[in-house]
Amino acid sequence: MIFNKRKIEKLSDSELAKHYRKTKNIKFFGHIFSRYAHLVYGVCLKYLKNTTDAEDAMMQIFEKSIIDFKNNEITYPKSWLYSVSKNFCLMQLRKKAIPLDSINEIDNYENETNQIEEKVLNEKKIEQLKQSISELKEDQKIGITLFYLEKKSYQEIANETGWELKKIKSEIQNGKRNLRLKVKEKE
Amino acid sequence: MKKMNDIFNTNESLSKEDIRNYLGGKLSEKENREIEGKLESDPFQAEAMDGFKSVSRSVIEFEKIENKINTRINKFKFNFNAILLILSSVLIIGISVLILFPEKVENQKINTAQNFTKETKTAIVELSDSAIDVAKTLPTNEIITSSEIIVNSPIKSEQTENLNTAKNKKRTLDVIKMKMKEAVKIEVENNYKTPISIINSPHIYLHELLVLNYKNRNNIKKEEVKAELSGLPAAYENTKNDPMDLQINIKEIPYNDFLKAALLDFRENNFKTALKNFKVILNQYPNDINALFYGGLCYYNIKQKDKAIEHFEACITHSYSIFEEEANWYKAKSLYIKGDYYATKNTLNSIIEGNGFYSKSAINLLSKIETKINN
Repeated sequence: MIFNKRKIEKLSDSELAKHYRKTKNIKFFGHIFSRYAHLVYGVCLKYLKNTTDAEDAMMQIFEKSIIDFKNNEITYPKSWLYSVSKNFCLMQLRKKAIPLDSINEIDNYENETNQIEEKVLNEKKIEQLKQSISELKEDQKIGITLFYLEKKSYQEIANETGWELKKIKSEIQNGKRNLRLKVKEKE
Repeated sequence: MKKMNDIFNTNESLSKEDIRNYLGGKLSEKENREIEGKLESDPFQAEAMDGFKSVSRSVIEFEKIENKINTRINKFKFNFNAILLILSSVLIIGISVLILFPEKVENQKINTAQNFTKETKTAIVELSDSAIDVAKTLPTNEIITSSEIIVNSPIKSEQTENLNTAKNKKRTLDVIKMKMKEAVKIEVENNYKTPISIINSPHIYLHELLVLNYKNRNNIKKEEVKAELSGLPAAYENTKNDPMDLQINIKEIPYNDFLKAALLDFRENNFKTALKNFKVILNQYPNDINALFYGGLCYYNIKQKDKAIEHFEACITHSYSIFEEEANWYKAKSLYIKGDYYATKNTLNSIIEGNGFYSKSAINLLSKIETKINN
């Protein structure tokens, strides 16, 4: 099957990965990597803290991915690239013996990789969700309500609550994680 | 209901433009919120944004790197297409030969087996002999001499060998003696105290220069142009022969002899002659690491920095690691004289991280660049 550039752009990540595995033609992998190169670089920057190391790490992740995508069935390339980028950077830091707790904010985010969530909730679940929000701790409840229900930006939430950006992100993240647990409990 | 759905929605992708606009602070609160929604929907995106936020000018840097990645992908694409083209051409030619000369194919089977190598043609396009002839050589104090290569290079040992055997200790001592002798000759302090580099390559020294020991190389075929003599006494021979009287002879020379002669030219600073001979080797064996490395040094010495870099890069990514450290160092030097300080710094940093033979020299050059940039 012959693909032109336009056709390739329309393929999903998993389709591109499948074609790359089958044909070994780098253009398929190239499209996947181009879609997320900025995110890979951003993650490398976050952990390695400078552009030179981040660039080096990104190039090594790129080389590694060329081979791994060719030889393995990778269903969710974006999640896979996230895990590989993060693990690669953490390994680099371990090699340099930089204690991980010195890296700001690493623990402020969920460590889980992207999970495939249900995209549309049915009415019953919406009710469960509303109930679960009301059961959250006060600050998490405020964070979730302002951010998701009132669609306020971080800055607007900061103006309204007086919280620092770090706290806002943390309350939203923790609130979201607890909500997920509560909804699962009720199922 | 949509708002509730948004809490667990992971579908929104954060683009490069989103990052640039968000960090540039030019968006309205509503637009900021849209991007923040994307960040909250995916930790990959959130961490990437944190990364860009934590290092200044990183968005601009990324755009430069993106070009490099694209070049890399396109290079692979080119190779893939080139391989397809070559394979289909070979197939067509093969079929034609089989049809036209079935008996010759049988006779040539033995020769083909002897000529088999794992090498494929690299993308390097060499300079023509006439371009080499007109190129200018660096001033004497700036050229990379063979003595510098001999004295200022790590001692190598093969990966498969036990470093503690008497045979290896003797070999190492022999190399140290050779380096000391060369150092005395050029009146410099030698650097042999650094640890031995472990390489994956069988090696020997020709004219004191390290080379990979290719054991099964066929003879090098060199074209020689000869004028056909008319049979008259030499005094009456027309020296300006008609081009039609010129004859091209192909001379076959054993690989090691040919390489040795080319290295002797290099040793005697005849870089242009040496380079032309390395080109002959590369024409027959495009991935010949000896010709790539010493050819790269010749290019450096005749001010062809880009060609030198191409050759050193081929040595760095070569399946034999024999010249990896040297090639990295001379690549950095080539980039430096080219004035590409950004790329030089990257190469130097990787040398420093590797903590190998050239790490101290790399630190010195790096500080020189920093001083230059700051001034």
